[in-house]
Amino acid sequence: MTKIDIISGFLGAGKTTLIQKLLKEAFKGEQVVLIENEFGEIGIDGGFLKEAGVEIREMNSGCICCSLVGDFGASLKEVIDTYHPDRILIEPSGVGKLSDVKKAVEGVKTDADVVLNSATTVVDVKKCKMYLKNFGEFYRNQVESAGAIILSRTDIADDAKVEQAVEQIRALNAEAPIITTPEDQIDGAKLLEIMEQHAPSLEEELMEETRCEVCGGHHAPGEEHHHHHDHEHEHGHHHDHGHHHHHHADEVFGSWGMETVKKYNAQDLKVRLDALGDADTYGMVLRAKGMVEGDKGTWIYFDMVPGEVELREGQPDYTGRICVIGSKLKEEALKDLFAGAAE
Amino acid sequence: MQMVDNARVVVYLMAGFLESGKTSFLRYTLGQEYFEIDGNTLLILCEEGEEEYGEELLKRTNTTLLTVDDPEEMTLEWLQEADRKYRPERVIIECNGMCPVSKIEDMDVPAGWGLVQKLVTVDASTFGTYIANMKPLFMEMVRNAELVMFNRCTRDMPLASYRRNVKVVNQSAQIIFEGEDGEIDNIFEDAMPYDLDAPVVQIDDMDYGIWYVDMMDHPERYLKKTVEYKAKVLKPRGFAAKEFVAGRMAMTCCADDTTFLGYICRSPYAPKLTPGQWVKVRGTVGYEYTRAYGRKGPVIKAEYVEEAQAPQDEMVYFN
Repeated sequence: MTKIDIISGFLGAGKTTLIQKLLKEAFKGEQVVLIENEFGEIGIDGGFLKEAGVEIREMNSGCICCSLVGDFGASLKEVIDTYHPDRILIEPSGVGKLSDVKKAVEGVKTDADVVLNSATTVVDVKKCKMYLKNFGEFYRNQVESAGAIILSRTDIADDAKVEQAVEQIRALNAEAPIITTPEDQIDGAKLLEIMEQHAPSLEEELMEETRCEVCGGHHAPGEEHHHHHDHEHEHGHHHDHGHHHHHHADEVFGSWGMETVKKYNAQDLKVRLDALGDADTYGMVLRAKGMVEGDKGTWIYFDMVPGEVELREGQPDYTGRICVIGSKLKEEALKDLFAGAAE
Repeated sequence: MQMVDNARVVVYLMAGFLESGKTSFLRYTLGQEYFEIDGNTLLILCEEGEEEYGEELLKRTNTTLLTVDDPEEMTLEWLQEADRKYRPERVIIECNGMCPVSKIEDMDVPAGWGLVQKLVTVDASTFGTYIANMKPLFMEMVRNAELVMFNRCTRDMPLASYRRNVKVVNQSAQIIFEGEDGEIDNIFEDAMPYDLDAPVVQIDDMDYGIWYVDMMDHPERYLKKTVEYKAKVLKPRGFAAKEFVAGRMAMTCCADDTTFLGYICRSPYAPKLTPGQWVKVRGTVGYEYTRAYGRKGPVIKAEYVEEAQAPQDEMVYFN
């Protein structure tokens, strides 16, 4: 089985940098073929690739007037038959539609043992708004069709710009994880996991951690199980994550989450987490968990159960995330509480 | 849209990719005395980048700014409505770089409107990747353009090659390179890939395109020199018996868009040549008016024409 990973994005977005990182940190020991349908500025370092056992294929039609799909399928098939690689990385033309490339890959499935493993789009955070406004269909398509979106140059953009880009991308793609943490702060293997969307969402994690071992459902500590027997306890519903502000079918327990690029001060965050105990304001909070960037350059991981708040330092995550579960959660109040983080 | 003399409304087309400096150029030009007119100017923006025109400038120059979000919105009816409403004497259209310029050039415009000038701005710092990946769009911009301005240039960029990219589709365009400290000239100091001082200037197969453009630009460098090159024979109708064109197909845009680039040769062997055959030509370069060129141009007086093998890659590329 050959895994196919697509790295899309407009010219200059940072696709090559990402590919180099993945080759070094995530695909070690694998036999990889790289198919380039774009003529890049920084050539991929041929020497390094040779050492890593990577074959490079350049497709001749790096040109938008020539249709991709026709010979692309044939070319892909030829690569598979010739090299039998573990993985094929595709860098499609920066001015093409990602959905077309995905379709072409799906088309090969019937003839070859391949699986579309991931489809990621790299977006230059500083250009996102202007490109969305002026480029039209193909650029929107790259955002809409992506399984994950990596924002590049977030290290040199201010938070407001990053927030604006995240908001615009979310409006077009509700599901994809948006990686806002600068690429060089995340290990390539972890990055790949996010691109593959195999990492459980924070909400899933939290739901799993708080699931009652006896009944499989969720309830506040001390509550008797039989009080809630009209619950649906068999829930596949924990898996349809991705929507924030999403309520689970558990009648009583819901979850609320947010993504953030704000930098938090540890003391300030602790005060806010302590305040979560106020049921009148925020609803009945059962647990809260998250990881956010701290104002001292490190990341803060937190875990809160009523009456107990724990903060610790941790590795940078792909973006700041906060998740709260409980009953009758007051989403607006929660949003205000965490959005108002002290800079 | 046609080029018209004495148009009631003169239309300027400003083409170039996003962030290439279209607005900066127009803002500067609008503010200049030589660009002042008595009547109204209508400025149609099909793209909105980082740069803006200030209210003050627009007011002072009697300019109305209209923004088009989707290029499809700009129809004949839409333009007629604008014509009635704003009574412009001049219309400037800032094109969207991702939309083929031909769409605008081919569209119907209100009666009395006529194109007077097409200008292009290019960001030299992104030109390399843009031309490699979006060549058809660029070629449409420069085709028929009067002026092509490369900005953000530095001397270490292959400016001569950038220039050839334009020249291959538009021989008459004026091409300007601007760096931080103003215009950069003398970009042709860079050596040609062949020796111009050799008794016979040998043009390798892969240098055909460079030679073709350079001789078009600078006939004086080649005048009376002997050159030797490989090309295909073409015998257009109306040519004299002892004339033929020796040239090659060049990819000006992509595999679907190629052009035959060649110069007229005179040779006593001409009648013996078959159209389509490959030949090696050695001859002396002259410069004269011919009907086929419609103007003065290089003509080769071939002293030697011999059948030859086709080059490994028959196509001529420009980058």
